[in-house]
Amino acid sequence: MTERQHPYVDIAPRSHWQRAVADRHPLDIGDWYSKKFPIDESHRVATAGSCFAQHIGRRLREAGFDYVDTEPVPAFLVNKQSRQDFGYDMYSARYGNVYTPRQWLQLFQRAFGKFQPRDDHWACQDGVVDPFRPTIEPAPFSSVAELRRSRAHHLACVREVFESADVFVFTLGLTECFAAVADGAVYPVAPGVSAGRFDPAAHRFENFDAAAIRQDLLAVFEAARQVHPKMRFVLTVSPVPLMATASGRHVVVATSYSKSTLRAAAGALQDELPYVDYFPAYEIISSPPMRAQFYEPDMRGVSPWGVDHVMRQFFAVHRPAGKPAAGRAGAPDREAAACDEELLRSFGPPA
Amino acid sequence: MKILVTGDSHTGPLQRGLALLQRDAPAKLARHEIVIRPLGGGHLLPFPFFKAREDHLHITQPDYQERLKRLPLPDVPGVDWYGISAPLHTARVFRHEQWRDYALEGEDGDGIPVSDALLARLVDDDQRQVMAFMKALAGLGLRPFAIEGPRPFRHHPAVPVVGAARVARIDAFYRQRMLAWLGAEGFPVVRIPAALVDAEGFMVEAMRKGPDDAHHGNEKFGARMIEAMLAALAKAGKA
Repeated sequence: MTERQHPYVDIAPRSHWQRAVADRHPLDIGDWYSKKFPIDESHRVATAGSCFAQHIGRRLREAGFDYVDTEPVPAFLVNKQSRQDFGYDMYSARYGNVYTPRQWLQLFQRAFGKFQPRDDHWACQDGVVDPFRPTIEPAPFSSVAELRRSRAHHLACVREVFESADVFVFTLGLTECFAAVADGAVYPVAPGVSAGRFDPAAHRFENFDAAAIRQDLLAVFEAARQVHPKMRFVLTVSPVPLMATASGRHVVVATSYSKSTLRAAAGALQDELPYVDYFPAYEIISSPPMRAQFYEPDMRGVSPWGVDHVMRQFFAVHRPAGKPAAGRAGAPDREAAACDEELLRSFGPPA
Repeated sequence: MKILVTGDSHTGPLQRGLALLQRDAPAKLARHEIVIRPLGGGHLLPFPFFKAREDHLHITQPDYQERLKRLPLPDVPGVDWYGISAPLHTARVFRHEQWRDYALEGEDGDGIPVSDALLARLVDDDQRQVMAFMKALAGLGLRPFAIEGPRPFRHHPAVPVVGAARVARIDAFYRQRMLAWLGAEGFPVVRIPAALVDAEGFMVEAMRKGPDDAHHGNEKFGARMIEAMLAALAKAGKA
């Protein structure tokens, strides 16, 4: 009798549910990802995307990758929470969360002078906020001039990100957003939520389909590779569900649509383009074999443990040879020594 | 009037200024009892250093504990005012050499812009614990007041690197923000006499401690501040 021949005879164990999943403890499921191209210490890596991307950027930096940070935290901003509140140490520049490929595309276009949204600023309390980074600082800018100066510097830093990154890791977060009717500028946060005023005549709801997502991603890739022809991209999909949907659907159903759409577009581009890879952070956190164990009790937030697990899978494949980034060492505090001397001289040694 | 002064290392010049007055002008101190008990170096003030108990504040910072374990002090009873030398010391913020690469709101040049909101946050981060300390003192029914630390000295090493104008602006912003808070809380403030500050906001050279110290005043400065303290508290007591 001849051996049975069919396309599944020689598949790898990881491609077989019984062997890859059913016979294993969820935490022992491995081999989630095989790289299309290497990322190592010779590559400068940038990140952007929805909130889950913050974890990826931070871990890449800590692991010793040559992480692009064109708006590094000033040494005088010491408090960790304040660094976060002012958008530092999150991404490769202070753009805050970039939820949709359209927002990413327009960020590039704004940085390179190809698009200038008509919406310039929103009045807020006694100051103004940037409609395209409404929460980048916890308090409004004190004047339009201050906002514009900050924005001009920021967009120069964004240019530097695209010019210097060899690999751009982008985490797709949402298909939903609100856009200006006048020129299609998309807002990271709907007008009126954190600042601004929602006007149904001026703002429209967008819920991009897979074709639109694909088209926007392609547009970013092509534009970025005109600036840096060898740039490569790693796409991920955020496993964090929607906080709210404007679609009218149940938020779980809307989340499913959003993530499926993003996942489909990312997968198609991974198959299509040699310089695009997909890393399955979404599946590692949210797929049924993982039993939702990495979600916080609200079933939305991802626990640090979950982030650790995701990044272990990434680092199992992409290992930097460089040393992990050292913590920022403070300069020797000469003034502290002077203060001790002053106290000793005036009061003598402590009892 | 019985006053207990505590706080950062700027209590040192106050102590030496007090000794100077006791020696040369004791009449100015008549009817007053001034006790100065420092916490320690100001570099530890931005971090938690005390816990509020039912009837006192317990100092938890180990280095500070070596000099001051609690307030009120059982061995210094009947204090009318508690002077805090801490809320108006600005060097921890302005002294960073990296300021040279940045630009404050309204400055010309191509430095990295720093918003007023960020500058305000730097002040708040620097003073959060001190503000809590003063409020906790007041919460015990005690009467705290603030004693201003010296303005920047021109010989501070940050000045040639960061620029005198920027150092002065950061210093002024910091003081203005803290003075607003102190005013809102109703805490009296002992200000530096105007004659000790030059037109650009720096301490006059005569108040300088010595060549090796970038930010403490000398005993003359301390004496002037003790005199200013008595005047300010007399005024506050009448109000």
